[in-house]
Amino acid sequence: MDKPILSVDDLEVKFVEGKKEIHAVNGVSFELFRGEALGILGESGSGKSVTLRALLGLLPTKKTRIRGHATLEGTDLLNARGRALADLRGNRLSMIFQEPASALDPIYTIGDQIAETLIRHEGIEKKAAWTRAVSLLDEVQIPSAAQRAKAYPHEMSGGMLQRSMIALALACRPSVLFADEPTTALDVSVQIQILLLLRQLQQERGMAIIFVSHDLGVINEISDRVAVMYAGRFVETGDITDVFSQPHHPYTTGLLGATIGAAQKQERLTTIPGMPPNLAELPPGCSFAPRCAYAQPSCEVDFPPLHKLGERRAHRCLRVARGEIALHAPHEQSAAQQEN
Amino acid sequence: MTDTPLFSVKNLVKHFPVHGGLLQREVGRVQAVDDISFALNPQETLGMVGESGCGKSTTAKLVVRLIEPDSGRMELDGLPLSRGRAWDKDFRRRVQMVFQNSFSSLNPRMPIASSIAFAPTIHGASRTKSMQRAMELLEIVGLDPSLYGGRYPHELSGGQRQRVNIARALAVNPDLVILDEAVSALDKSVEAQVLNLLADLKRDFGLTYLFISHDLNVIKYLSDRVVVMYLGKIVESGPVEAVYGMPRHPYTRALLDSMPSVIPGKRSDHAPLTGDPPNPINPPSGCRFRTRCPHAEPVCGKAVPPLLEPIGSASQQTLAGHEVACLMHQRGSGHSQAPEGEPVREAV
Repeated sequence: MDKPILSVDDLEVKFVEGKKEIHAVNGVSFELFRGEALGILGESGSGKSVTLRALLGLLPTKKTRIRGHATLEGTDLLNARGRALADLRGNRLSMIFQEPASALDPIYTIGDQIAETLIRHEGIEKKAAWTRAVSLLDEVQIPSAAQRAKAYPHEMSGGMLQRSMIALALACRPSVLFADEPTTALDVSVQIQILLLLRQLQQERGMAIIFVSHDLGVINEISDRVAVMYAGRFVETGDITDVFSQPHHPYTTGLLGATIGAAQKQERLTTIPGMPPNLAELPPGCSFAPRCAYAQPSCEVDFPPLHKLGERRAHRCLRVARGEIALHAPHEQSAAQQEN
Repeated sequence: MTDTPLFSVKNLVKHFPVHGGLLQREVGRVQAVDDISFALNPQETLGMVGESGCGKSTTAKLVVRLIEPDSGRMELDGLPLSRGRAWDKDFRRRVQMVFQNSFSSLNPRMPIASSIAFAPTIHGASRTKSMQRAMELLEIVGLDPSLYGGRYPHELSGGQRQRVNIARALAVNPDLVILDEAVSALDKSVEAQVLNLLADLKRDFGLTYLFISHDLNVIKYLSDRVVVMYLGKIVESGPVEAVYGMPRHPYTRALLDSMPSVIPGKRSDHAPLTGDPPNPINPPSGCRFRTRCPHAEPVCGKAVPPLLEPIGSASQQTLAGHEVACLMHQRGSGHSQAPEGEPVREAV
């Protein structure tokens, strides 16, 4: 296989609040290859956004402790500071956010903001930058792009703003794009347009994407590979079809069961009891054990190491690894019925 | 149906004026809810679905009378509203609401048991009795009263707070509960827990729900009947099997097609709609969906299509109660895809 564009090794992020330490990300490792779309699926507080922000150096340095290694095409990400970091961000590594309205500057036009990025990173003339900005807006399918480039963020609808932010993020042809729930605030009919646009741009440019979402459907639409995240760890990784059709971690099964996509009407939903753990006091063993239907006393004590199944598949469940339990995708039958 | 509906709404209209310019004159009107009618039968769940700006939340506020309609009639048990102070007070008891934001809808300075017990005391129950009831309700919604009763809203998670809000709504023994995006802010695993709870409570207390959401999956799962809204108008309504199984309005079809696929290995290959929903300040004339509709013809801009039972064809049988506001499904409407024949007059 080729060399990965982005490789992250044992990333740890802790937030320090007085005497308390919040363990937001606890040893995340992965490799991302050219043109690949990795989906990170997790609930709020699972550490999926924090992972992206740590890699991009967006976390407040005073209150955060970051450990581990991350390299983007040979460049060290976690130790980049000042100019080196500014050269990287928005150039080789870009990010789009959930709320485009708050991510864009309200007092500059969309075109100005895109042009500014181009001038900063590519050192081109203002006029040329503006022309490029317009063609970028055109590329993200904004109608009458030349006029819309002169619009301020408040003059645009949510879908148009998200398109503008994508244009801004892609202006310098980044090799990796981070997408942090970019469609969560959008209506369904707009969401699918944005997902298809991202998929198309990714394929055209051979760019790699890390797409973070809590929505299984959205992850299914965009990702080649998925990492299921719980309490700051990847509990299961693999190709999207493998993970969704044959999950190897009870949390993945739980998430699939709690998603009503294919559930029959008025049939009871299978739920995951309880709540995510307190990140200030993580249990020594498997952090999902207190909510897990298959947990044994040993699960709460023994830390589950990553159990690899071939090149691309891995999970962190002691009992599945020992072959004591076999998991099935819930609603597999009803999903198949729906398809027919 | 011959039974009197629990709650019905006829020709409800609510426009919000928009002021602007130097003299703050009225420069436009947001047609948030424009001539909608629907009925809620006892112990059923009516799902209301639509995208942002379609008027779902305005409808919810109108039904609980947080705002007054510009025109239109609302009836409870077949009787018009506003029948004196005592009656109004009883209306407030019988119709309750659960909001999307679980935090801002609870008093931050009141322990949650007191929040739940507050409304019953207003309605005449003694303090001790209300408190006792609050503790029972906490138990019913799955929160240990001795552990959680004395806590403040900020000490609870989003899912727990939403359980408190549900308990608070139930404290006054309502008949109708309006749930406005009540599970939208919750994580998937917690959302499933709350949906199961809502289903249990409906059965145990004989409740009627008006369930408002933008999430088509949740609506399908919980509702008996569905109303689809677009820019202040109802475009399609009917039993959930009909609307989801045989959607007739191009908007409903597009909405259902826009849902991300959860089937492994299966992905959407096209977006059914382009652009965003238009601004409700100056909605298009005639059918409001025509600017985004792939089947729009000049005739669609002439008049607002009435909500009528669609004409069934050999392949598509029409289920009772299925109604659609689209000229393509109305005989003699002038649309090229409409069935031939005499136009059906709207029953007044």
